[in-house]
Amino acid sequence: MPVEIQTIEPLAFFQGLSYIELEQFASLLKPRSVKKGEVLLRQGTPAMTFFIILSGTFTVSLEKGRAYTLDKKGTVIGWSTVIAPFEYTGTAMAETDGEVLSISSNDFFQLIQNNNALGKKIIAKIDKIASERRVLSSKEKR
Amino acid sequence: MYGLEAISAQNGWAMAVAGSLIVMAGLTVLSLVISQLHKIAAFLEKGAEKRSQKRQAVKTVPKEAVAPKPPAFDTDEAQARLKPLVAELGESFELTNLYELANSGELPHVHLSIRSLRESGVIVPAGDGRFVWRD
Amino acid sequence: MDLLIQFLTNTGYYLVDFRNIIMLLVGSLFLYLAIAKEYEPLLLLPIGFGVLVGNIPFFKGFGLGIYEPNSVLHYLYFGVTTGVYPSIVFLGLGAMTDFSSLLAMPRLMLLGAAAQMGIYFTLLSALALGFLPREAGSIAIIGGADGPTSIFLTAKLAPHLIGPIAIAAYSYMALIPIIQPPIMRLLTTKEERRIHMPDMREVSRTEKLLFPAAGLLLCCFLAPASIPLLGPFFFGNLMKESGVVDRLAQTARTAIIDTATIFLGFTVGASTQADVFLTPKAVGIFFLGAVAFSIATASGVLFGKIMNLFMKQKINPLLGAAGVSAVPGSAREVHSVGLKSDPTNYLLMHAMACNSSGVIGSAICAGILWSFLV
Repeated sequence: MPVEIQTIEPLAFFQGLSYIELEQFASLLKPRSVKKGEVLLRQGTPAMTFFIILSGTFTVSLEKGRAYTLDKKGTVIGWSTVIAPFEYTGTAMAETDGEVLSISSNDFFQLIQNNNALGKKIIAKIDKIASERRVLSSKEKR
Repeated sequence: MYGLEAISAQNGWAMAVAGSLIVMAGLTVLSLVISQLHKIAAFLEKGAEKRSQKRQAVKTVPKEAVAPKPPAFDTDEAQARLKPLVAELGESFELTNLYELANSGELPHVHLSIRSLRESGVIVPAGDGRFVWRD
Repeated sequence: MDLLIQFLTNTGYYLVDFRNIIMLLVGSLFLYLAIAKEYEPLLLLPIGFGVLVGNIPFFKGFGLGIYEPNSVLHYLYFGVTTGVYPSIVFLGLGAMTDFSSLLAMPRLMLLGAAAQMGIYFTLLSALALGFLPREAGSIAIIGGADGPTSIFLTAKLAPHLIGPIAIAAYSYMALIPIIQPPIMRLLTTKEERRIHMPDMREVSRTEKLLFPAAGLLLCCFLAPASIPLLGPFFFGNLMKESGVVDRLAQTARTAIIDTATIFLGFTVGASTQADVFLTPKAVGIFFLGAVAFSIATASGVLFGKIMNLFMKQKINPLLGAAGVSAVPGSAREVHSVGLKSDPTNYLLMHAMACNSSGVIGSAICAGILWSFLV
């Protein structure tokens, strides 16, 4: 079933995108139901898909026993699809039944090929999130 | 025949050199033209603006010759038609409810009207799939 | 009893030989790479299945095989041999490409041109290895890293090599993540990889409308033989940018290109039969394909470095690798290598510009080679 624009428009990741850009994005997103215990992505595997949480709670396990929980609607899992190191840095597992939206890296890059202006906006968002991650991980290292 | 001898016998050097030069020259010229496109575009846009200003300054056309009314996705008209319905739905509303109400009132071009108001920022999202009206 | 024996002697089980088995394994490998590894599935899946279909042994003369007149496969293959499918694919490509990045920074077009040197280097290598000129021209175009262009030119110059050349071209496109990064790292310093590109300006709608007209006239006046590819390409782009035929543009970049891709891949795969594929020539083609991709990547990167000798505002030479027109694979690799050197260095949009110019460059080269070798 295709994703409706109303579903994604309120999400933080899609703020600032025009109606047409949302339409283009929505046409490529695939909704997926996730069962409790299902693994969305595994640490160390090539990052080919990223996911946006619609509902449910997910645990992301990193190296050295670290882990964190994601349950906020609109949170993105699998950023490494579009930023270094381009392989998943953690394993994401569903703690509860839930629903996510997924987009493959092929579709994502094709979207950017089709609309450079959208590509610039998304790169800016990714840059912001990636720099927040870098700040967080440097704090953890200290 | 193999090796350099084969290349020379089949005119390979000439093809390679000529081909390389042609594609480099061709794309260089294209890039030079593209680099000036913004000036041509600005010139054309300026001309179009002047022409539309001239048209606006011309006297109004007699009533018989007036063009038919534009479709109802003209933003102002769409606003006038949908605002009373939005008042009925409350401060925040779902688009599907507005759509159903507008359809039941047999308003023309409902989808296009709602879309044009969204694009012009009159109907904006309020979160959780609900929307609000902004004058 | 005779009838039964006649039937059994016409089955694939009776007619199979080891070459069919090898080709069936090759087809299965492509399917595995496409489905399990997700390497260019849009291309490898139709090709892989086509290889399976084309290598099922059958009794010749029944009008079944792809090379037999009046067979279904032969009619579908018509689009390959005449160059119709590649033209249609280019229509869809034009309708799905946004040239804003290229219009905002036109000098990146030169990197796309430089990457086409791989084609001419491979031409010389193929001639040196003893291939006939038309065969060498068809093999050389693999360096353009554009499947439809390779198939188009091969159909014109050396149709008997369509199978191995297409499979070589698409296989190496799928291997871009393996071929390109080492070459990029070898030819650039860490400082060069960290060069940040300036932000791109906004491009007006009028510029985007003028570009396909300018591109068509300039490119096709120079190389009229590229009209079958660049004509539909710029037409598709104009449909996209005009905004008045959205329905047609949408159809071109979805249903039409997908249909052409299915039949192109499937029939090319089916045409790849053992007597053409399992030959020393095919081995030579595969070797030259690797050379073509490598030289194309290297020449793009090196040209970027040369440009920096003359330019005040430096270009990140990694972008030269994106001049290889494997869209969007090579742009993605440039973005990836750039980010690994500097996590704040996002080269994707600039790489897309080089990618787009590479598509135009490879189509021009196909036209040039066709006019040289016809």
